[in-house]
Amino acid sequence: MPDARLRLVYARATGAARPNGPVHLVLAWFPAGGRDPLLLDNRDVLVKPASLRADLKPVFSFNGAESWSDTQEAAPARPMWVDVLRRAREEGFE
Amino acid sequence: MSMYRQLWLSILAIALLGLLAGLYAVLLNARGYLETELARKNHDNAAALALALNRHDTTADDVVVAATAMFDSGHYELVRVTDPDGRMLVDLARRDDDAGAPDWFVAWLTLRSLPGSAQLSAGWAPLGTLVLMSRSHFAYQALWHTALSMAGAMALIALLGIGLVSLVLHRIRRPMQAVIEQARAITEHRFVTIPEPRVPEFRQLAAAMNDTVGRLRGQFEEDARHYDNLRREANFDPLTGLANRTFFLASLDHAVEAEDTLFGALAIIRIPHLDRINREQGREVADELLRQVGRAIAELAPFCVGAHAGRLTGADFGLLLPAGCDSAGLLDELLGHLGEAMEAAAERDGEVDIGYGDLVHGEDPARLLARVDAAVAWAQSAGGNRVCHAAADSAPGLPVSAAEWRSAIHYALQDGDALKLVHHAMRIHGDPATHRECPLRMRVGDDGEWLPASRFLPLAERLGLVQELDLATLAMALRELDADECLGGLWVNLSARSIADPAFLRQMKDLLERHPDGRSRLWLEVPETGGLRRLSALRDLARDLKALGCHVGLEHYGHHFNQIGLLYDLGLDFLKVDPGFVHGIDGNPGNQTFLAGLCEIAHRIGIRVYAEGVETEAELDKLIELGFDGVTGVAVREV
Repeated sequence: MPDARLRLVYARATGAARPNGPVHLVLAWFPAGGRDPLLLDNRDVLVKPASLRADLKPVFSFNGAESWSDTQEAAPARPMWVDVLRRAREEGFE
Repeated sequence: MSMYRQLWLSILAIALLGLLAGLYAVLLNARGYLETELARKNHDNAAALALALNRHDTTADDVVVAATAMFDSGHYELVRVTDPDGRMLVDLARRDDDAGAPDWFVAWLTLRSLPGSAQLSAGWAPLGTLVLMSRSHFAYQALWHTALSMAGAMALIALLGIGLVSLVLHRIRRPMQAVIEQARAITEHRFVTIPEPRVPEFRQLAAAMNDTVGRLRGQFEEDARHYDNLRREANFDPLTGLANRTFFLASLDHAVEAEDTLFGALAIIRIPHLDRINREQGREVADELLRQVGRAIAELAPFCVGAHAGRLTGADFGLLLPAGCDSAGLLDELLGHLGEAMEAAAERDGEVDIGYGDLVHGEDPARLLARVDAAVAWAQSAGGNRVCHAAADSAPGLPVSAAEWRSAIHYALQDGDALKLVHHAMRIHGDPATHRECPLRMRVGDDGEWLPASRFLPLAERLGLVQELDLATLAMALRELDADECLGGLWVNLSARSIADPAFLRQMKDLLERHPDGRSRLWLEVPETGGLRRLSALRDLARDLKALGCHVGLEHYGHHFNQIGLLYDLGLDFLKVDPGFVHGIDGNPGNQTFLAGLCEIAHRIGIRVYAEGVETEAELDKLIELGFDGVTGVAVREV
């Protein structure tokens, strides 16, 4: 699966019960042409297209390729995200 | 390149390399920091724009407007937006005219920062990718200023460092120079010692050299004492300490023959009744009497430098007086001293008779002796205890008074034709080049006879004109050397009075500096007696002239052999041994031992030894066998 198709999206969870819900991180997969991505998160057990997820309002998205300002430098552009990746690697995820 | 300069250059090179490396490291570091900061700023700005544009109703048109506005703020070099299908929506780029630093600097330390990029979207729908890059102008400016201020600070530190290093090197330089100076002096055969420097390495070197010089010197002096004893045994009368008959007659022979002799008169002092004293009062009284006479004659020497006294027979003493001194007055005084000594010892038998006569160049020595002997007899027959003069036929047409001589010499100095150098061949052992001794001759009047130096030089010395004559001699010799390339060397006399005259030395140096080619073939000789009396002048002369390439030595050498220790640190090139020691050398075992020893110890300190006044082939062969480096005299003279 190419990296460019996968993005992490900051989204605000909205809904009937909570009009201004908490900020929530969602993994999105953009198909070719990329209009309606498939979303994976922990609020819904099913992977659904974005058009079916009215409870989520996207704010900002990024992926791994944009997280590094310069790979040989010790100061990444998104240090907290890099820390998450490091911990994931330590726990055996690749 | 000298060690000192190498040290300097290597220290400078190391300092420069260190500073440059430091500067380079600092600049690389600064560049890395600036690159990171630029990349981070690119990224943050791209992310901020993406965040600002992310609304449901954002259109591609909004994106184009926002991106263009961002570019127009002027802080970006590149702003580019591509839509999800890869088409370019915005592509704005500019090149900075002013890079913020000189071109070579930019080319050398190029900043490579990553562009910042972010995904633009409207709700879930991607609008495109934003790529932007900040201008590097300000970063280059900061880097350039860092470089300048660092270079300035390092130059300051380098200057301080150089000051410190030069202080240290200066401290090392002085002892180093002293050691080098000593080494140079030793190669020039001046065996000097120096105070030991404080720098440990040089101290060891100097101590080693001083020690060697000291040991050489001790050995040298021991040998010199040994050979001096031999010289005394062979040439001096054991009872009176004056020259023995052989030695004195040899000196006399040479005095009438040589052109450059220093002697002007011969006196004979006789104690007519010595036999009777010996018979009536015993041998011991007679011996004591002779000793007293010897002492009285020897004590005369300080009043007329260069006098040479000897014992001719049992009761006859000979005395060679230097030219230009007042013979009659001196002998009268001597007679007074002797009279007192004799009267106390022998009362009426204590008669002393003195006769004297002037030396005439070329006269047969036997005839001269007979002439003076007649004068003694005349003194005796006239009642004893008196001084009688043996007249010689003086040459007509010569000046008589001092004033006449002064004007004659002045005239000769101005007129180019009244002075000339005669050439006498020398033979230098193992050197095929032509060496010539050239004594000066002077002519009084346009068609007068050419006078040898012994006739006018003593007078010139008394009149204070000898410096000018010496200069004229040098000038003539240098001209001849310049004119004849084949001439191996010209040997020229300098009077002892000249070498002690600063004005003369200055003029001589000027003259020598004008003849760079000729002067290296010039051999300058100073009489032993006068030279040793002006020791410091002789030392300066040897040092200065050797620096110019001339050769310096003593002539008529041997009478002051007991002072050979003085020659140790003079740096002389040669000694010419007085004919008195050389005459009849083939039949004189005592002098053979002495001269062989003289050659040996002189050679040890790098001084060559030549013999003067060699008359026969037998003498010549013997001298070469004894170790002489060359000879002058009738035996080698070309007719």
